[in-house]
Amino acid sequence: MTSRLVYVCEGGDCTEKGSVELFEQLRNLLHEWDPKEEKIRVRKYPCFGGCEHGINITIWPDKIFYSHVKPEDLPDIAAHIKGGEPVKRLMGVVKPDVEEFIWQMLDCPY
Amino acid sequence: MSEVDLEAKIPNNVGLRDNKRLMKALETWQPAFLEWWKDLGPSDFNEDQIYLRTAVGVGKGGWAHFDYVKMPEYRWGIFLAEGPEDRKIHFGDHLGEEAWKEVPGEMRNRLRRLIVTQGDTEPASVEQQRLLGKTAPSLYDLRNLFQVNVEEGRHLWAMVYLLHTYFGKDGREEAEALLQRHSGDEDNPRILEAFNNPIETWVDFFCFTTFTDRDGKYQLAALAESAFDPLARSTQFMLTEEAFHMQTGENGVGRILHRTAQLEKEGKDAKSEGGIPFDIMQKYINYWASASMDLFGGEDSTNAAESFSMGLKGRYREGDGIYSDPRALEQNYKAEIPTPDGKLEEKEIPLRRAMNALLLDSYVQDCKRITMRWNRDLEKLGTDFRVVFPSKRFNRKQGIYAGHYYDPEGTPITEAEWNAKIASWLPSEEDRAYVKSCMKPVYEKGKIANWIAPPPTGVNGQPFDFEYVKFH
Amino acid sequence: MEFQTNPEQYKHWRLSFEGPIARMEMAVAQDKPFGEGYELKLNSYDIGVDIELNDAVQRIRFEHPEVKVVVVTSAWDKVFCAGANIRMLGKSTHPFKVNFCKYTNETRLAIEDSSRFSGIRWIAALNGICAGGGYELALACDEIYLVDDNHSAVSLPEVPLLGVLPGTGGLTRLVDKRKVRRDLADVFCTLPEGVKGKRAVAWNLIDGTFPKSKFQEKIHERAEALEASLPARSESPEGLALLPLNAEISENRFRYDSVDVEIDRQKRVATLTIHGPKGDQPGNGAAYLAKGCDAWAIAACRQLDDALCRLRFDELEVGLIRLQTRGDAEALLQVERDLLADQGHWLSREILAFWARTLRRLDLTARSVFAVADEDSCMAGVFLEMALAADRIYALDSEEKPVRFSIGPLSNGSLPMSHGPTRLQVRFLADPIKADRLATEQPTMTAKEAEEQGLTTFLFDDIDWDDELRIAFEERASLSPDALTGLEASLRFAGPETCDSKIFGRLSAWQNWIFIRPNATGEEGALVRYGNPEPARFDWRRT
Repeated sequence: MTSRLVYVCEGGDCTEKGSVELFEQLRNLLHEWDPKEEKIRVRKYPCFGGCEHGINITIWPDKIFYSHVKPEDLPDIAAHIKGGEPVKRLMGVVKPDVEEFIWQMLDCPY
Repeated sequence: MSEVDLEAKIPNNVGLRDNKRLMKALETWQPAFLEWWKDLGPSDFNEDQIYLRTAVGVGKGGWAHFDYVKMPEYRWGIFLAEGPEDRKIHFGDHLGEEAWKEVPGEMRNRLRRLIVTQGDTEPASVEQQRLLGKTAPSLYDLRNLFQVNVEEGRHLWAMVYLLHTYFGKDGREEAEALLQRHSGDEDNPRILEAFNNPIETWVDFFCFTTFTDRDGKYQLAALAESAFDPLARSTQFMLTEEAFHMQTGENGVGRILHRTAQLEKEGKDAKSEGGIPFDIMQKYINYWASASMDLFGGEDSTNAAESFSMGLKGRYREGDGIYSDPRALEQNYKAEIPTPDGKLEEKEIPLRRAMNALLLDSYVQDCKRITMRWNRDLEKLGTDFRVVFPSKRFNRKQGIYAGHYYDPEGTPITEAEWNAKIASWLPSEEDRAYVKSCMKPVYEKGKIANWIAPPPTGVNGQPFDFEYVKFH
Repeated sequence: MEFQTNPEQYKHWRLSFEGPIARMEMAVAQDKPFGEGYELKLNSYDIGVDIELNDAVQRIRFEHPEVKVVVVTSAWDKVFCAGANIRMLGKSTHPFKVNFCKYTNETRLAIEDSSRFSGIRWIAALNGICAGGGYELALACDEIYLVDDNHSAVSLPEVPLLGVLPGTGGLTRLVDKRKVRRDLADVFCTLPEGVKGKRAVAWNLIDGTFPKSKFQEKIHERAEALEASLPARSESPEGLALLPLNAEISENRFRYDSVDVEIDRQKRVATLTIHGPKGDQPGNGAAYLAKGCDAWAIAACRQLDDALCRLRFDELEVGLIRLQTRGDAEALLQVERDLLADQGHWLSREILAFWARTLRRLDLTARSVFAVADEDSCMAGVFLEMALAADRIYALDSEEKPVRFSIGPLSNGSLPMSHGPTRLQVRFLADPIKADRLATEQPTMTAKEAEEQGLTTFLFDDIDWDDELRIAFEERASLSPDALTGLEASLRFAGPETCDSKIFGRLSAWQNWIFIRPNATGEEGALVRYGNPEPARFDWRRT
């Protein structure tokens, strides 16, 4: 089982902006490539705290934080996950401390 | 109530119709629940039409069905999150075995205790908040309060479902007892101490939903990893709703801070305008944060170790595979433990015994995220004040730091220093009296009390001045 | 393990009959041990020897009603019995040792039981050295005579030589049965060479000594005199032959006509189902004699006894017995009423005493026992008594097919526990009047009424039934087997103590503790080092 993870924020603001639908679209996009989640798992995350820049998506342990994600960005994100380049235009939007928060949560020493 | 009525009244995805045992148990319990709701649920508003979200299914959109409803007619449902049929246990000593569809006999008592303790907090918070409706700052907030209340009620249903379905006669008795204990009742109080004091003001309510409900979220999240599949799936669905409650609190506190910053910016003194000064807010946050951290249990706990090794409670997001050792056998947790002379000393606790501490760490991290969010808003408004989340050592009544004195940064201090500073760290009687004096109801559509800012958006795409509550 | 045998198959005993006097000669075949890796020297015994002894006691009671006196002696010169085989004990696992001791204790209690209830007297004719378990066997007899040859002594050398106890009842029988003064008993038990002659008589360790030349003659005289003083057990010497049991033993099941044990290895539960009488049953002792050992009251009891022994020795990992009863309550109660009414007949008495003994075997079985009163159950008479022997009773509250509880005539004193009282008296220790009322009125009641009377532990309706039972069994099976053994042994025998119950409750419990201590069974322990050149080394700390 891989521990590479894509988290789609399902906090209040992101949900308002359609993160639940976005989550399902992304999961479907990756499903054909990785039907058994052997390479990456797509999960929801309660809230990253980057609410004003939602919808937010993170990829771990790559430490990529995508903000303002819209459905039309998903193919590029999927391409990145499958081994392509990170989608630069969606990165570096939230403040570094917001990013740091989620990495601290996930880089659990245990 | 007949079986047919029950089936129609209770939205569910647990096959209620075919579950004779559950049906029979609910025939007695459901009327008792309604009685309880009338006696101890929100006072005075049972005849009014509230714009509420009702969960009618777990699928997309199913959990968010909005309409006006009288609270006693709310359709409390029973839902389990969908999950794979062949889920495997992903941590502890039973790693790799099939998740349990039934309660293993040897774990019945421990599981029952976990479920009862969790279940007890749900109606307890409704009881604690029952008088708040009388001082709501707006219809929007009044509606949110009731949304929280009915959903805590539903969470009680979720736990009662587990007790009725999997714990036989004992389970039914426990389910009844959940309605018989009452918050603050001298003879028959709620199990956890934090749930026995009334929530008297909206500042307390927002802090409670931010910090105490968040403890609930982390407890639920740990149970959502459980090897006992019905518990895992039940709590997973509860977490979806719990997120909303915390949002209510988080936004509520944020809106108070926002309003105080606005007043400050307009050159007004918060107190003379009926706003809540920053320092009082910080004290309330200190109080509720520390009281909520007490709910996590001892940092070094064999009980927690057993729950983990048995597969009953996992670590936060255990299932996402973010931990290197799913058995948690190989590592130690580094804890700062107070020495008899008041200093702090780093000690290693076997990781399994430190499960409560680990969950608390995840909680603290999450709380810091919220404080960050509030502070960003304050920064934007040009205020110098910043909220500080207190150290996990501050003002603790439970766990390894209890009985020692620390300032909000967590630095050890003497008892004398503590006594000298306590009034600047925790709400004083005077502070409480002042906050109470601000609590005046505003029931007019589109209006709001002066101590809190309106929300940026309303509920379900409705504007703030929507008629969230239609009084009869 | 096979617990069935008969005199034709005996390897270690010679059984002979001379009118009212039976003679049992211990002639242990050195080269025929039950297990491997040890020799049965000096009439030392292992479980195989004791299974034959138990069989002989049973057959004397059932097959030889003419016998009033049994002389137990040895076929070998200069040796009566050297006790349990030490090499065998040293090689055995802890559970086996414990079960071995328990079984041998029960056999000795069966000897005493026959003295008490069947009017058979036992004479231990110690024609040579008599050590340890050998003397314990002698202690189980009514009278003990030792040959006076300047050589033979009685001894309990376990403490000084082996670092364990004379655990087959020795210590308890010394002070409780023979009432040997406790300080003298203390001296006796620490003297490896034992005590002989006049001193042995003076301390009441034996009843007399006879010179070697006249030993057999004197013993015979004593046996004849004793026999003459006793009433006849039966008018006719005709006995009831105990034919081999009809048993189908397979890996997970032992099945007899009236008893069926099925083992779920994964759950570590054995379901023991006992079936009541079917068809016509003998109405009195004479009719039983005519019918033979296939009669339900005899056959079912033998089967239950055999099943319990197998569970104890062969199924160590079965932690929990689910006790189920089946059959027609009225037919069962009629059998009991007939036997009780005909107690003047020796065979009726023997059948009742056998049930009492077998139920005590159930009481003393170190497994959790949950009785299950489901809708097909027959909770009457001796079956209800079995349920009362269980640690808990689960009853179904069924409207369609109500479960009935009937207290039978035997519950009023015919089936005493090893410490004396009846199971009803033990259950209602706090309310002796109620125990007495239930025993004398012998009511039939519904499961609900039984619950109100305190006869059931839990009453569940059919909605909860399966799940509650499953959980109860799983929960029980998860608990520490050692703690459960201690718990059950402590809770089952509330009330007073007797010599019998002290043997199990005190002596055996201590022995079992000593058996696992390094001072006995550690690498340098006394039991392990026995016979080796290096002496044992002890951890000197007392508890």
